[in-house]
Amino acid sequence: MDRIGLAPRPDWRDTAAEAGFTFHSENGPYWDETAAYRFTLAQVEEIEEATEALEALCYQVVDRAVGDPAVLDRLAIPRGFHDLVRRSWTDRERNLYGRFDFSYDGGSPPKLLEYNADTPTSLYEAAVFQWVWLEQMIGRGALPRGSDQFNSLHERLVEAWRGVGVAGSRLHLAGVMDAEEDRVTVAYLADCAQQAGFATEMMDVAEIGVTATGDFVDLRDRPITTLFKLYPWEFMVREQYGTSLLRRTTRIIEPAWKMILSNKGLLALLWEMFPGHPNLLPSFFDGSGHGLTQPYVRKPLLSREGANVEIVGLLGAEGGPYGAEGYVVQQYAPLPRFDGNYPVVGSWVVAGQPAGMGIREDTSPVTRNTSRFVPHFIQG
Amino acid sequence: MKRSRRIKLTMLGASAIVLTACEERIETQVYETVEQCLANVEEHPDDCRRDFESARALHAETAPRYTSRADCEAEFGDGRCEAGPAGQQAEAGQGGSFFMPVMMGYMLGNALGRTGVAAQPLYRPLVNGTPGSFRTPGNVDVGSSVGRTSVRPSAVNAPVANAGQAISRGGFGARGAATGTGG
Repeated sequence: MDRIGLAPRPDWRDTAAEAGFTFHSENGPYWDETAAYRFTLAQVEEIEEATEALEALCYQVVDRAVGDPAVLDRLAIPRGFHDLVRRSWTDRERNLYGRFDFSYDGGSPPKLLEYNADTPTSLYEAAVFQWVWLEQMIGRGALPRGSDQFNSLHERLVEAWRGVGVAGSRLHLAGVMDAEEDRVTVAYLADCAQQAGFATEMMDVAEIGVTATGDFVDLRDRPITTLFKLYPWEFMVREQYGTSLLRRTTRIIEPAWKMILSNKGLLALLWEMFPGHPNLLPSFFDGSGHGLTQPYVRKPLLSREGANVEIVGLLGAEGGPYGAEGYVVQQYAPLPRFDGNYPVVGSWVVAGQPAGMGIREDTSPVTRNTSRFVPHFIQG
Repeated sequence: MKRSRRIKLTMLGASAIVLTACEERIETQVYETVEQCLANVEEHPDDCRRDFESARALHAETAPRYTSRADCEAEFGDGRCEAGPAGQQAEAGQGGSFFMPVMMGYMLGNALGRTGVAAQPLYRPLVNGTPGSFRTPGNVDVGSSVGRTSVRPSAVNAPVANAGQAISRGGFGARGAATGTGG
């Protein structure tokens, strides 16, 4: 694994405009092709195997959690929703996708930092735009023929939608449409679902309505039979329509059992059940007499994009709105440094299978929403 | 090879950089009226009326609904909307009347010997001020041609009946407004 400086394609902004990639420079540069990470196939396979192994461990955690209300309590899942989570798991409700974030230096085993199992973004740029980058770089002779990429996301997403089985063939997809990154993520998944044969309707989460009986409907009062939502479960259960979710008349993707996995408490549960696993870092619920020596990382159970994350003994907390539900602590695993940048490997899972990766790097050792997406390729 | 062999985007962006594969198409037939159907169909002329009747019945159940005539006509054109059926108005309760576009055509069911395809009512929302291509109740575009045509697989799925009217909206979204919620 190394970081290679490369000349950006002079016309990449035009390509982005053609491909619907609108947020490549939203808060400063986000898409960054002045460099790329090069991996060997063996390194990629190590990441792939770690992803497969962790996904299997996560299912064991869910299995345990749904059978033990005390565990669901520790994850701050409200009591009234325990049964919903349990039934979504015992009914084998299908899930679509998630992203493991790894600290990986190319030599030691990848270490799990967190699992974005409910509302992961950076999907489109990983699935489509870095793929186009590689094809063009090879086509223009800037990278050798035979270069490859760990990225079967697009094909697997279309296939996964076929397997999800959308009731009534109409799929509603909702998100916070004012946020460009979220809108594009939703639009991209809608595109994949259309290719899988579904009629899709995109909407803002705030446009979801309820009928007198508590069923969800769209702006035209059509029933929402299957809903993909890029909106966190932990928000939904605490908002006005939360109790309508208990009727289970709408199929929701990701399913309710993802509440267990999209919670940083997962890290503590994994370490509790599989201590010493090579892809895990020692992690504990905060206040449990963890015995970690500084520096260690303190993260809210529910937080996104690095908000409220603190490296105790090294770096103060990033501000943010999270933390009310509790914290986990995790042994600090310094990210590797390449030319002053700290990359995090995002390893994607689609329908339970490893599906590709996307690398985000930052000049700070805590990856935030200001990080840049840097493409990767496989050589050798 | 560890990467996708082909990437296609049908809605996001343009096709300039996308390697497009041929999509499976389903052969079917689209008519505006029973008479038009009878003039074109050689075998099974009885299907023309039967499928028109079942599309009409589905129309009442599955047509897009609007709370005002103006909202509906903004999408389908002046004079191309009607009040929802009286029975359903009452059922919707909440004192709500609703409006829906008039049926502009229908797709034959089990077209050309294909089984499991429901007859469907078709609508023509405005495009730049004039009625555009035919669309199913599920809002799938089935093109503008009348007679034999080929459509996307999603066009032949049975349409979904409407639910009761929403009594409120906006019960989700308070915590994520405008900031986005992905990670």
